[in-house]
Amino acid sequence: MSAVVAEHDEHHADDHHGPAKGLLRWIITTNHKDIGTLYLLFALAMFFVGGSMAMVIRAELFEPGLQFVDPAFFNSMTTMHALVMVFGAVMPAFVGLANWQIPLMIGAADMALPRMNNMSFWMLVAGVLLLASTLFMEGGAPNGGWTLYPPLVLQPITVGKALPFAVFSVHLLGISSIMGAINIIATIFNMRAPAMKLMDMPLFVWTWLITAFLLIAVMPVFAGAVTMLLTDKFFHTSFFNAAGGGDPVLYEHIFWFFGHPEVYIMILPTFGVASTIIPVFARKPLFGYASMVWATGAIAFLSFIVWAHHMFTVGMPLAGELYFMYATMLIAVPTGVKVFNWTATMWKGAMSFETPMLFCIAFVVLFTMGGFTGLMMAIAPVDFQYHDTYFIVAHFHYTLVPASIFILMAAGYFWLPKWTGHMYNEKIGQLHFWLSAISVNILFFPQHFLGLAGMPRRIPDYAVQFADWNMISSIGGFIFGASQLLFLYIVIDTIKGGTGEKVTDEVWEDASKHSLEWTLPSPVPYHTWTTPPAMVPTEHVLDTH
Amino acid sequence: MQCTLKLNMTTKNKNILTAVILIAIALSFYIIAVKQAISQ
Ligand code: HEM
Ligand SMILES: [Cu+2]
Repeated sequence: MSAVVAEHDEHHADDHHGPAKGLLRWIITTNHKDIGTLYLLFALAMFFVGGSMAMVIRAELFEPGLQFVDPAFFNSMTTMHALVMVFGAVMPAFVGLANWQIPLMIGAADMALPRMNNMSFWMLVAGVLLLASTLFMEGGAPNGGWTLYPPLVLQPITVGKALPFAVFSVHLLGISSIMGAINIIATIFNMRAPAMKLMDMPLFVWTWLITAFLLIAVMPVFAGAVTMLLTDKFFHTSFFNAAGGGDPVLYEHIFWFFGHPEVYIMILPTFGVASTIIPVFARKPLFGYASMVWATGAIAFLSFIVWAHHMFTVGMPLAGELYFMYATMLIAVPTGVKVFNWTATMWKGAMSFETPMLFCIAFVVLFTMGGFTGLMMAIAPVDFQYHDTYFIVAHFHYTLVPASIFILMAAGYFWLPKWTGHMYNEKIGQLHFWLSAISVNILFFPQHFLGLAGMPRRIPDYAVQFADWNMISSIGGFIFGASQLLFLYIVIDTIKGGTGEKVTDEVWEDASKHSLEWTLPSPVPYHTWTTPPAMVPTEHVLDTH
Repeated sequence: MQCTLKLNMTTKNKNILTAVILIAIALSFYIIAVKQAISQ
């Protein structure tokens, strides 16, 4: 497939020029590095917007009783926090990393469809702004939860005027993600350096390839579901309206057919980055490269056939409950393979503990905890107790914050020196790590106890018996939130010059044995791989050669 | 350049073909989801 890369029949107008001048550069850019930067900065901004909403939630829950906000606004905060973090922060951040890294790692000059790439980004901005605008509408932002379940979400009291805007925003975000996914697949299939076979690709590239297929399969399903909400509300259809012969539970099935793969869309690239960073700081090739690729594929496949573990309590037939219970448990197998491989990579390695590695190690430990609570909830009869309690909140925050978010931080520390040519301040990086790693546990661990004791999720007030752990959780939340300002400081400081020490092309010892980007100059020039590299590093795939 | 699907297809054509195929897959998932709901 890649044998024809050398036959470019035309060149982009900007192949021989630098970027456009001034602000215009960022608006019209088709350069994968510029677009990557835009995605990453936008995601970082949304991380703080979504984070502020979390601070409102934790402030209100600091004590029992209603303190700061009214209940409808509180519910808008939980809904919008989730939507902003999922669609505005985590997903765009990984697309940003894909834009920067995939072409560099596979020896391609740019993404396959650069103009569409620009459009994906600006549609994302439009979608998120539209969503945010609902905060200022009569009746407030959507507040029925990020799952947008009918009939709740269709009731005037819960949505006011916001629903159609939220739905249209989902359409824009969906189209943006699908275009991004198409671009990633086309780039990986058609633009690889001729020397790079599929089984030579770094795992970050592999995990993104598989994630992109998940996106293409499930974003349209979500778009379909919310469109039917819209027609139910405004055009008198009754897809989900029992009074008209429809079925609200059908929405849950459609939503989770999207929703479960969606959580893997946020975790598979996480796995890819971890598999890329850990070998560099363990100074060993990745353990079990091929099994990592197969495990990623297996997780992606399984993610399509387990969705109803989110709805054990709707009253499915027993056979259905059993099927979804056992299918869900199967996911632990490939996930276990991965955790084993990361650990085995570190085993007897000459490890060093720079900030990116610290975040990766914390990820391996803390993500595994999220996996274990997942297994607990997969047991259908037991989930009847856990469902819709803080136990769920604890589970998915362990899989998202010390996993996806920590790995995004690790990626920032790992690649910023390459991108900017400047070294970040290691002392502040380590401080950021320790504050985050400790406070994230103070924040989320007690939520397991609250859930087991029966505290429901998405409620602004609670019984006094839950007071102590909520206060502790909130304190952890405030420390965690404040610590992230250190990351913001480090990013700005590194872009502006960092420690002042000039980084080498390799940045990290022997990194060029692991992946192609470290063979390029630091900072990475505006145009790279205009002629594809003749050889590709194979250290990371030693066991397959 | 009239040979569209021959072996010596340019990278650019391949990219566009890949995009078209993937859009078709996305659309079919959309249609299946809605069709499933209508037939309930
Ligand atoms: C070993 C793997 C996993 C298993 C067995 C598992 C299982 C489950 C189950 C059974 C539920 C539903 C609980 C309920 O509502 O009663 C759930 C919820 C959830 N899981 Fe997982 N999970 C796993 C990994 C993950 C990962 C990797 C992520 C994300 C990166 C994730 C994110 C979520 C989210 C966001 C929810 C809650 C959705 C909501 O109701 O708002 N899970 N998980
Ligand atoms: Cu799930």
